[in-house]
Amino acid sequence: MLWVDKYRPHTLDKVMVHVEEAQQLKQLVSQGDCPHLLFYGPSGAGKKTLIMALLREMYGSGAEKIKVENKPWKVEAGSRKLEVELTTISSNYHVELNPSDAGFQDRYVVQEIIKEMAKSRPLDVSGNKSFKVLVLNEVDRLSKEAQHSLRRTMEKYSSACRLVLCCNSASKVIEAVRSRCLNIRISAPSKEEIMKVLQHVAKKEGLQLSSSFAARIALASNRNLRRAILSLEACKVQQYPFTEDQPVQTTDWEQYIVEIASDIVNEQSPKRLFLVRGKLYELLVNCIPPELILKRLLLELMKKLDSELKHEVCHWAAFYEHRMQLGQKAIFHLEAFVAKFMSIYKRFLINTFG
Amino acid sequence: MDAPDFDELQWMVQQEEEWIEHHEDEFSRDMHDSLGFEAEPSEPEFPHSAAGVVKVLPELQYNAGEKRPLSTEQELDPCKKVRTSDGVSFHDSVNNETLGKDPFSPKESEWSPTSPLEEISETSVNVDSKLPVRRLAAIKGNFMPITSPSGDRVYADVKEIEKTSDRLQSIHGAGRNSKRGTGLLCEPFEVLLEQVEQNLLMQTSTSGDCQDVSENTMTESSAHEALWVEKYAPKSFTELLSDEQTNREVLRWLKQWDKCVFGEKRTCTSVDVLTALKRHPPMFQNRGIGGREGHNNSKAGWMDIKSNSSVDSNGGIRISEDRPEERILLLCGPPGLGKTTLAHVAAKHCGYRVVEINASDDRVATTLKAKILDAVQMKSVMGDLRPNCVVIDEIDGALGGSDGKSAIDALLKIAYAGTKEHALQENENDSAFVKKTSKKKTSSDSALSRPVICICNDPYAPALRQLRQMAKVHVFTQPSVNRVVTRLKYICNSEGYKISARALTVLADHTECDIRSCLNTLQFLNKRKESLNTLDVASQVVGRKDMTRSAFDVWGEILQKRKPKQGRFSGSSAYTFGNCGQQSKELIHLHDLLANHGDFELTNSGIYDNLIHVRYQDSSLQKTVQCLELLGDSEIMDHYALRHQNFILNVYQPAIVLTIRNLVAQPEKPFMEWPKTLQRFKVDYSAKQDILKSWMMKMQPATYRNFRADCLISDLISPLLSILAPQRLRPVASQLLSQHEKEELNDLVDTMIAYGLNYKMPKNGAESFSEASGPVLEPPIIKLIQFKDYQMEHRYFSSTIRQVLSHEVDLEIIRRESVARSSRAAASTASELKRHSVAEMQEVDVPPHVKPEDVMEAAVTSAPGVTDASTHKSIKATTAARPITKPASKPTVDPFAHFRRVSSCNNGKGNVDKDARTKNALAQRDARPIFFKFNEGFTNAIRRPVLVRDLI
Repeated sequence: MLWVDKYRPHTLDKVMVHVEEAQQLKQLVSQGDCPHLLFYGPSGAGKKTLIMALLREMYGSGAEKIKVENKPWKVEAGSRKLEVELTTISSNYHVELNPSDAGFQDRYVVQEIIKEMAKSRPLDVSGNKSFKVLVLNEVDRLSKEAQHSLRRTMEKYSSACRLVLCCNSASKVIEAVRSRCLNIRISAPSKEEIMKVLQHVAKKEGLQLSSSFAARIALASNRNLRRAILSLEACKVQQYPFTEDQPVQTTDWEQYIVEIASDIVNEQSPKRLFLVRGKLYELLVNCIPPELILKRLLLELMKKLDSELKHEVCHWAAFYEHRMQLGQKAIFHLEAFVAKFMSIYKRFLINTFG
Repeated sequence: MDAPDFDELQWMVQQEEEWIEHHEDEFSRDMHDSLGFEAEPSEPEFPHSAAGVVKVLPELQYNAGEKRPLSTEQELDPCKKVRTSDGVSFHDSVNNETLGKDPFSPKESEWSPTSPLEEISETSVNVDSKLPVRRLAAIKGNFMPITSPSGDRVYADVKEIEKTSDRLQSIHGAGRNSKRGTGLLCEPFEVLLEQVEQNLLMQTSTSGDCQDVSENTMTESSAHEALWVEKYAPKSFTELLSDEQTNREVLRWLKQWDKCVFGEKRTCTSVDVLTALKRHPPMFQNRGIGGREGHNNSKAGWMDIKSNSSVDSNGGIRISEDRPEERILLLCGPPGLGKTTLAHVAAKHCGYRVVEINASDDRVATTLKAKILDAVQMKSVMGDLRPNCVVIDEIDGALGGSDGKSAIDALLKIAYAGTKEHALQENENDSAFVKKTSKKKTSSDSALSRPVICICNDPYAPALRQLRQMAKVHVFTQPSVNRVVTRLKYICNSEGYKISARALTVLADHTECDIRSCLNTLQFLNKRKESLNTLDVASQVVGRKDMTRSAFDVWGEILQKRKPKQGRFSGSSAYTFGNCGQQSKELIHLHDLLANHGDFELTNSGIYDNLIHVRYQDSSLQKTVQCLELLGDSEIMDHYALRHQNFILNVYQPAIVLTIRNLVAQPEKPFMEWPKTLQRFKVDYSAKQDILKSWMMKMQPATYRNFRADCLISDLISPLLSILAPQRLRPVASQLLSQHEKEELNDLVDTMIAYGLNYKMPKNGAESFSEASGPVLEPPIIKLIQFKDYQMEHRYFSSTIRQVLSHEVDLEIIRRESVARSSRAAASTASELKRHSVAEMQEVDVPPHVKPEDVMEAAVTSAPGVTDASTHKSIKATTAARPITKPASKPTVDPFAHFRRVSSCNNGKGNVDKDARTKNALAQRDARPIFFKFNEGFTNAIRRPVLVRDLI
């Protein structure tokens, strides 16, 4: 088993980051009731871990006996019948699902399936909790319509069901839903926290981990705990005992973006733009979210940029990222950003070096 | 001329009255028939030439009887006709009126004509039943006195029959009347004779020819404002506006059917017919178009005669192999260029009867099939004996969708059926006639025996793809403006509408040589008594055709700057827009083009893909940035419109594209290609998504819940691949590894199972990604981090290790499964045993549960016991364990031993007890006889010697 899974804290007591939040949650559960919850924060911060620990806190170890089901749901939407395929993870006490998987039909998932699930009370009366929990992942990817249909469900069936929403960005969740939940922000763990966790893992595994190497891993992980632990394990597999100059592995797509960035900086021409377009397509094809590509690309470009340009480039990156959210074909906007950068950079070069 | 008997007359009057009641329609028809020849012998000027009359008569009668012919022109003479129910014959009255000066006429007017003709003449007159009156005062206007044989004097009302009576018009060969008006009797007899001969010719050639009739009516009904489009539709081959090449090709294709359709090789037209034709060219000139057309028409007629004769002489349709290679002709081109007209004219020219199936008909596959088969295999029983030619019009329009595809399939099936079968053709000759009953049978195997012409606007419609490959395709091009203008000019002249050639040129230009819309416009203007000036064309007066262009045309227009073209926009721009008129005119044109094309997404992606090929001046990439930004704008707008169903926003789409054009368009023609990138991207993307999904489904639940799809991609895969390939793993069998290494291996296997991964042999071997062939990771997550031009740094195991790992993973999976299964089995057997032992307890004092528990333990331990590699072993172990647990559950053998031991221990129990028990045991044994099954091979079960005596 990967260390990520192996050393994942299973109870609220054992968490190493976000201790405060964990304690608050524990208190909340101990009082017997629980409001709807909205966990938000960047990827790799520990939202899922907290939610799972919370479930265990509520229902005991029974909540950890889960099964995965992937089945088509028949939904009647007006006059036509739809079939929505949905994967659910469920235990006796909770159901976890990802309604945004249904794409543009997410509204029906919320309106029909979630409602259906929320309606029924849990069978187990011996349990001390009279409600069950619905965990909805990636709520920020839900369409506005779906979110609107969610808010009434949250109120209507609150006696039998609690919703635990989980998302990366709370700003994409509509106000109405946010106000119905207890919002819990799970911030990205700081470098120190990550280092602490890494040391903890190393100790459990019986490894010698120097703090400087741990710091390097933590830095490379970009405050992503999952990434940090994975790269620690990868490093360990690569070479143990660790040496100080051992490279910390990055992911392949990041490597590729580094290449793209150097392509862009080396030459600014329509031809080069065409080349970059092909590479961006490659990234997109491999299911890498365009936002991530843009962010990473910006970071890589920043490294090679004169400081007086940084502000402008950042501005444009934000501009195109916003447009990307509005549109559908990310490639147009990614390429527009690249072209914009090329234009700015070229102008800068001409001004500076004549 | 005998005077008719009075009784006879009386009887006739009675008869007629009855007939009038019941058979009025029939009468009228009869009348026309009879009138046709009745008039001939009644020429009062030539009573001496009776022989000649008699000679002509039978022929005419034959005509009338045979084919219900179009009546000759005589009835249409603008003469006056008497309507009486009395015995006054029609021709008499005619004579009376028109030839009043003739000395014979008074006598004839009083009496019916010659008796042989009497009956017919009688019936013919009495269409309108109006009894003669006895008093003159009752009649207004013209009258005629009649004296009956009995001396009674009556007066008959004389009425004029309108020339344009509908019924007459529909049947008569109209259009021939005008010239004939009064001339009939003024011509010498020889001329009349010739005319009779001509009539005969005409009748055979045009008999039942609905096309001809409708044509004629069209010409005649100009008073009722026929559409010019129809009125001046080309009726002969040379009139066609479409270009000569296409016309000839089409005609040649149709001609290729001749042998198949008409059977024998055509001989020359018989000399007498030819001479007859030559003698009377003027007869066909009544359309006032000129000798050339007349000649053509006669040629068409000649074809028709031949076709008739050949069919008749054969007595059937002969099907031969002489049909063109492509059985179907596909005519395509923009509307208004005369595709349908060409098809009709050509078919007529070659002597076919056109059966048109157009978009107004129901055209699902089954009906279409039935219709085509009907048309192809049958012929008209009534009158028209020409073979059919099927014209399927607008095949792209109403045939869209899946229905259309099946319809096309059906069509192709019919067309190309039986291309290989010759044997069945003999049957077909008959089956064409006996069709109704045998259609089902023949439809499947009969080869197409009649030409089929399909017409469409867009040859690249998806539904037509197959047809396009199989058929002979002719693409219509625009006729030259000059040709169109000449034709328009001619039509305007003949309609008496004054218009300048210049205006016509502008009009033709404006409509892109769509002659239909030109004519409609002209007629419209004519009706309003307005004249067309050049300004009109540009303004709203003239409707503009909705043109759709192909996507390539649109991209071309956008990315290529046209040189200002004289004539195209020069028309009115100067008036309206002043100096910049040219430009804005062009802009409007482009805007329309884009708006009409409609598919903005396609337009945009085409521009996006082809932008790179345009060489525009752009040193600082400013233009590129702007273009991309605009494309982005358009895309955002499109997305918004879709999302909110707010399609009115699409109005603004062309503006965006026009801006791009302004930025980058260049005079030279850019290299264009169909935008594939987006499409390819979608395909690849969904393929990778599928890999990802299948991978996630293979993961174990505990792992699955920890990751979302994008986390997997962005965070997990790369480290995971590194972790899965530890450097220190030695490529040796697992037994040879040290304890530490074994643990590592187990960890690795554990991880692989948790993430649902395994090494498997690739199915086709070609897909191996690493240096050596061997098992590859399955699902192929490696593909998710493969980028073009990117060298991955992941290490791979050698194929030996991969094989070892694959083996280990398989084993581990089986091991876990068997553990799970055996624990389940153990749980179930335990509960079963419990029940049993409870039952035994009641029967037997000593519970026999010791042994069963042993066995159970053996079963449990045996499964994990065979850790050594081989799957066979573990499976065998479990299978071996099972048969033992079963007999163990029946305490047959062991209880005795037990019992013996127990009984020896406490003898205090009586013999009775013992006997009862043995009896009980025996009864049990008899109830359940023992089956001994010997399994060859190794077993881990406990063995001990058993006597056969014990078993039985």
